[in-house]
Amino acid sequence: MIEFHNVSKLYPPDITALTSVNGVIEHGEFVSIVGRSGTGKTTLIKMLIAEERPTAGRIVVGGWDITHIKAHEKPVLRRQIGMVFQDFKLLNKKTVFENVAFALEVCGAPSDHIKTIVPQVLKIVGLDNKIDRFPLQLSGGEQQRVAIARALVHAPKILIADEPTGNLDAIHAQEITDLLIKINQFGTTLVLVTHNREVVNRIRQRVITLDHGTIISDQKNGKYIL
Amino acid sequence: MSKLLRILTSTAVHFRRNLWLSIITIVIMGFASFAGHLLIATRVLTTAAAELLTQKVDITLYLSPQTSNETAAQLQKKIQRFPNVASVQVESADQVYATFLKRYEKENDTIKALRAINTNPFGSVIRVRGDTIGDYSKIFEELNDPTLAAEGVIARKSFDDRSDLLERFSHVERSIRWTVEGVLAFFLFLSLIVVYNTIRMAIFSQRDEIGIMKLVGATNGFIRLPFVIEGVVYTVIAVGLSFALWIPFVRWIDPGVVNLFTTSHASIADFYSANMLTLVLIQTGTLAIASMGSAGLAVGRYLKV
Repeated sequence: MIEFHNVSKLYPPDITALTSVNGVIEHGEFVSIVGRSGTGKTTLIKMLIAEERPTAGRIVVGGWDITHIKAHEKPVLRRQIGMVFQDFKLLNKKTVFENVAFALEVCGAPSDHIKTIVPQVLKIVGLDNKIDRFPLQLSGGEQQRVAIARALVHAPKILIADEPTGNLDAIHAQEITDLLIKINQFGTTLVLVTHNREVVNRIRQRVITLDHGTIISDQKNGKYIL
Repeated sequence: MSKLLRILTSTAVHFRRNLWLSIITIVIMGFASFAGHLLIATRVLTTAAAELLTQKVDITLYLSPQTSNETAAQLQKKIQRFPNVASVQVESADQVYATFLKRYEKENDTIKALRAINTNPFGSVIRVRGDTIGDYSKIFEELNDPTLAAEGVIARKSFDDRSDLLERFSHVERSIRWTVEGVLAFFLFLSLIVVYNTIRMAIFSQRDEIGIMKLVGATNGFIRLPFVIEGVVYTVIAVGLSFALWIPFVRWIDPGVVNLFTTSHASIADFYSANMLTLVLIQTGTLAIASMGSAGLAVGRYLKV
């Protein structure tokens, strides 16, 4: 599903974010990418959604070599990858429904389709009873679930969660983790970037550990080793 | 269709979110539009004034007092056959006498002296007009024909080409036009800067939404177009408002202007009525293209997709 072939990233003049990263993430896998701050986790994710370009190497997503992807092709790629962030990135002036629908509207989806899909997705994340609320009327965990719902509307093959529990307390962090596991069980490939030890150890799936821009560990039923 | 509607909705949202900035942009563009109106009005009035001046140019033939009306009429027909002659008008000796009396009616001594002669000292007068200013010198040469002089009918010829006056008028007209064009260029330039800045501010204030749009796979066109269309919206409103204010104003001052210039060719209102669609299209088109260009530059610089 996702292939990294000797991927390196250098930020001029002399900052090396990643060095010769190799790896394959299979379809339907749940992979946690862990490491201290500044080890290249976010850079790796940015390259997956073509926000950054590797200095060397190749990245292949779903059989598509995106290393030298063109500007007009990026939206097509990003519709196949759902993204969730630590700071939720919701629009506070839009309701829950509108935030999720936004992802479909900007891609030209018809209104009927939006009215059908959005409630379904909100039901998956357990927010079908709060569609008219605004983000600031929700808890942190609920806001993150809205963000996850928005990431799911395109039925992406890959869901990337970059520190999704970073701003949450332990209880809400657990809720989100459980939701991500549930999504993975539906068949979505899940890439979780985190440095939350409890989350990683609870999931007990594949763990890739980065340190100073290189992979130092890649374990099938891994644990947080740093 | 729904995509277009969403782009337009997005444009409306941008407009509303930066309302005061949008209003200022429209006002500045309105000034540019007004400068365009001033330029048009200047051209209409200066053209009318030039026409008036041209009409004042003529060749005047003063016939000897012994010349009969029939001879004057024959001479008139002869001159009418000259090339480039637009009109030949004859004022009979009696008409010239009556005109003189009217002109000097308050000068008793002059009138007394004229009546004392007990006869009409004036001959007929022939006024010759050419098709264009350039024809007069040729007509004057024709009138210098020795055969005409031999007949002894023409006592005196006068040709006031007013070329000095026309030249000075052209100079003044050019200065006024350049000044108005300068004002227009200034406001046009200012409009472009203001549009550029307004779009830049709009991009900044929308950065969260833009970030999310990029994230969820919105096309580059969907993200960029609303900002470019915003420039067109400003144009349409600005031009619409300027016409809405200018036309009633022009209609209000028109009778006075026509009276002053003593010709209906100076009617700005008539000019606008006859060319309304063209003028609206030219103003809207020019400002829209300029503002789209300016918005496009701002989008290209500040909106990385």
